[in-house]
Amino acid sequence: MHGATPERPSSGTPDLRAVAQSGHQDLMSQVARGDEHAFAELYDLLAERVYGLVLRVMRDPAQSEEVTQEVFVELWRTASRFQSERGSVTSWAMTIAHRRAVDRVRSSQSTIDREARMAASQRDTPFDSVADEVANRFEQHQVRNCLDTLTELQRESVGLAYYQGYTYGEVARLLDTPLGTIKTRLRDGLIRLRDCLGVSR
Amino acid sequence: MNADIHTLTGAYALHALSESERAAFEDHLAQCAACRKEVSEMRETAARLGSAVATQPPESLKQDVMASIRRVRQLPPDEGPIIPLRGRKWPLRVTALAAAAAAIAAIVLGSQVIRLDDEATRAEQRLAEVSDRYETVADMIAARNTKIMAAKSGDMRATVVVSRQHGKVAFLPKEVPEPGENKTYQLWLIGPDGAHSAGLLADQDTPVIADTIAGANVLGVTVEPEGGSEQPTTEPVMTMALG
Repeated sequence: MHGATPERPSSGTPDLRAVAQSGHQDLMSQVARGDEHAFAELYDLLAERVYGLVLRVMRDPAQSEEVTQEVFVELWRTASRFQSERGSVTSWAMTIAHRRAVDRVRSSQSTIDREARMAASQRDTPFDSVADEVANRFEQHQVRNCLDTLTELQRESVGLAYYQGYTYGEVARLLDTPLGTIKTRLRDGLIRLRDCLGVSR
Repeated sequence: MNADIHTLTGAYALHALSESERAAFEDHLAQCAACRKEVSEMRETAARLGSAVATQPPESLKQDVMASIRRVRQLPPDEGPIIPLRGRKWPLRVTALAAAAAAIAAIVLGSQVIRLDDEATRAEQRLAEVSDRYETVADMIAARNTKIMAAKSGDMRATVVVSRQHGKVAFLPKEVPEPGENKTYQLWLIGPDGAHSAGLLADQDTPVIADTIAGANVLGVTVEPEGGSEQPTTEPVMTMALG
């Protein structure tokens, strides 16, 4: 259907970087033209990732389903605005998903709740539990291996910000570390991950 | 590039900045190509972290998603500002005026297609009339740190303008279904301490302008009995994050 596009997996376990890497401009163009079949294909490619991330941040399965649905509606609605030169489809979708999950968590929780949640999750070790709950996929191994190349502070900072939706100010308080240090650790950590994962554009 | 603000790329890509820092950083981003590239690469990186926690959603979700997209109209390419203005590539001062003009034109022209010169002239006259009414909104649009968002939920469409500088939120209805007999639409600003009424929607053509409330980061619309309610009594028909 898309010429040189690699064949898409027919079910269940989409190739994890198929969306990110090739041929998806075609799929997105079809979605932008209102093709529901193409959108169903996009859903199959992204649903596990979007839902997994949203669930990770929000924790509550019912709310996570709701937000996942909102994310896909947004992808549908704004498909014509997707610009492949600005990044991959996966990155676009996951950015929207993370943003929505974080917004929802921040708007629905009173300051007191957030303080309580912060206290409760002191020194939560996000990446260890990641390893427990995921199957042995290549991608996850790779992410896991690259996370191991980070310093402990980089790893904790990135994990608390990304997987738990904390602001860097909250991360600084949780880790009892100066704000400026957390700021640079988030950046250094992501740069190291980027290089390790071979992300470049 | 400013070395200090540049270190915020990581926190920004992870949505870990406070609202005010995010606004400031996006202003910087608009002028810093190197930062945009770095943010883009960091988002790709973050997406990989997200992919590592992939979890199978319930089967029913796909049907729900497919059913809901059938009710949602897609945006045409380049319909106008849906992304916050701050995400623009050009300095705000230049685009704000153009955006103000475009926004007013969109309000005036709606979905009409102007083909003839005299229609264009009439539209221009109406533009002048209406721009007075929308003066406040135009001021807001022209200010720094203004965000313009297209909102759609069910059959309701609106443009929401948030101006930090003016401390105001404007809700510009575009398409509003009948609220029902003896009912009205009421707007709410929702924050950690609950919902605050932001006014009633008089009709499909009149914007509602309200003062922002500290901490309120969500705008909601509910159907209420005529005259409005103290607190929302129904589920919102539309909500959007103002941040």
